[in-house]
Amino acid sequence: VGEARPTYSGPGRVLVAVYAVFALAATARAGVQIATRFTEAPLAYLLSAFAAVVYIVATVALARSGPLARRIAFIACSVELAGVLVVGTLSLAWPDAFPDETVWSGFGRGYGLVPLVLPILGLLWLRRSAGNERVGHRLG
Amino acid sequence: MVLVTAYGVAALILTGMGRAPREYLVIASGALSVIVVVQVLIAVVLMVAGQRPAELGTFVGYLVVAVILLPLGTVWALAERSRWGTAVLAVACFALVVVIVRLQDLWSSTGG
Repeated sequence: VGEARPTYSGPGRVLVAVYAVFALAATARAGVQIATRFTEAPLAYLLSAFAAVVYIVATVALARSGPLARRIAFIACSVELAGVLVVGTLSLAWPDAFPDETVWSGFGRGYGLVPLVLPILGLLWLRRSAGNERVGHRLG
Repeated sequence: MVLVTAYGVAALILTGMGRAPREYLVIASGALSVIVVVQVLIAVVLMVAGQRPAELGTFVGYLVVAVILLPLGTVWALAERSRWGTAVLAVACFALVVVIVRLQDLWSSTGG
């Protein structure tokens, strides 16, 4: 209630830390996959790289203050949620299309479902920390 | 390379200390960081000496992450002087445990 607080304060601190871990993990994983065996499963590895970029953007945006960072964080978390839902569903429905795992395969079960929970927490936190003046136009 | 399972225990203890005061936590994480660096150096020496883990590139990547995780986590935690700062330390510790487990996996499946 009241003033918007920075997304990196309080519990948000932990959120940013978890995002940073995932940004690091996803980037490293995608880098190794693409560098060593890209031709085996190009789609899965491109998805890994895309997920890595989304995590990096979300981490940086959440770690900064201001309306622009907040908007970017909102978009990144939304894309992330959509990604994990779509890829998760597709990977279970058509396993053949995903010969190698991505971060988002099976709703992120390879990572303890954290990839599924993380964007939801992120969006809730963005809303919670926004304060009064943004309730009507949260995207602003 | 023998990696100390004490890391896991330390991570659990740190989590249990979720609301505890801070200074000794920082000292502990500094000490842990030093131990990690020593372990990583041992791994590097062994690799130079000829032992090779499976997937060398991945292994080296994990080594780098292992070294930076705790210091970065500690810096990030220190800027938040509440129990959330301590929770950040726990997150860093758990991530470190995962990295160490992966390192051990890769090392034990040595190619030769």
